[in-house]
Amino acid sequence: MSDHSHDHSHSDGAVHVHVHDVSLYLKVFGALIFFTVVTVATSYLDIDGFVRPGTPHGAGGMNFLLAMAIATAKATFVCVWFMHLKEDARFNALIFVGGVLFAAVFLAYTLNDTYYRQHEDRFQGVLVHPSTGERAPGGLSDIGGSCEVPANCLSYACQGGRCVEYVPVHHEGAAGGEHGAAAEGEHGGAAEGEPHGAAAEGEAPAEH
Amino acid sequence: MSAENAHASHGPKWLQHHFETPIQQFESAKLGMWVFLAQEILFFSGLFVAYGVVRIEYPEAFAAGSMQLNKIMGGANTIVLLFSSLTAALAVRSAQLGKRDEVSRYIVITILCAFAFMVIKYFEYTAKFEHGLLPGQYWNPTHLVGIDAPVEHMHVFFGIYFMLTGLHGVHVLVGIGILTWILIRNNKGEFSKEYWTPVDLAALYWHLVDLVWIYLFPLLYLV
Repeated sequence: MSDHSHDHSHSDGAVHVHVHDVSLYLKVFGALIFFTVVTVATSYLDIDGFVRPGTPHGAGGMNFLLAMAIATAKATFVCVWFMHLKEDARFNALIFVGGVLFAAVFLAYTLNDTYYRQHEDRFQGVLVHPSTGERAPGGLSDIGGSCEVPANCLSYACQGGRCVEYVPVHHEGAAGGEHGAAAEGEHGGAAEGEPHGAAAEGEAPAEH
Repeated sequence: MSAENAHASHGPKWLQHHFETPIQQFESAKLGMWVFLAQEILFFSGLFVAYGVVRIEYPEAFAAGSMQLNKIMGGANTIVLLFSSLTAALAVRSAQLGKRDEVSRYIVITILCAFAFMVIKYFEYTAKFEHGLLPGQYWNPTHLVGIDAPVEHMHVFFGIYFMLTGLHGVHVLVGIGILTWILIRNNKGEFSKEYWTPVDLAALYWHLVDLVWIYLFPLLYLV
């Protein structure tokens, strides 16, 4: 693999490195081009629709995850072989990977904040503030009894901590877990039928 | 002072007087470069986080915006950058072997690839300008691909697009400058089989530019 084999003891104070064959670099380059072609090709496929028929293209996140996995594979090839992290001092790799991890923490915490702005947490019975970054301070407000969701209610909408709209559903099974459905309920005008259960008692739902 | 001067007089010309041995100088330089590269990741991360926040807020606008970008041009630029990364790595390899002419040849190819990237980018930007696909108050779409009418908040996608590719483009231009500097120094005969650290560090910078693009390409053009 190498043109020279060196003693790695560094006892003479000179810089000795392992010189790789050109063929190694060509192989890595070949892999990078292969992955590029694959990621462009798969971007034309509707993987989300294949995994769960009916999902709009890109909405299921499968195309996104695949593209990011391929990009990460390519980045790893560049770091390990082109940038010589494999044989470089371990501390250098630690610094670089540490930088990436801090960027990941930055992304995760920021998204965890912004994504839940103005969302009702139906399990805690609270509304997350603020709706935008302009309305500091944040925090939570109790959305109260009028926003307690009956078991057979698919989703509901709250404005200013007050329940304004109920969307009845026909079977109980749909109530669990679907985050997107809860978010859609905020905008949906499908408030037909009557308000449900105990929620109706103190306060009548406002007309839309 | 006198001890250091005495030491420096014994070492090679390129060995800074505050280092004991070439390996110490080499490892210090590499450590410094990796710290800088980690900083570059964090420097770009702000825009990547902005991408994430805005994409989750307006997924339809991002899907529509992504449709306006040319996958072929973006893909071609990806291949150009990957190839330039290969030649940068080969330049370092030749430098490790002390082959000065080869180093120059590989660096010239790398620089030409960097210019090719900027030329393709220029054509892409020009098309976006002509079609009014610009951020904020400059948003004035006159030509759309794959959709009949502009999607609400779509200009935000182009704000993110121009910031991310613009910052990356600035890095490419800086890379051209650094590689040219290394080329001049190599032609002057400053590097040898014993001392090629600057070639290595310049290549590391260039690989980082490539790394950022490896993520930008799918994020903006493909998904």
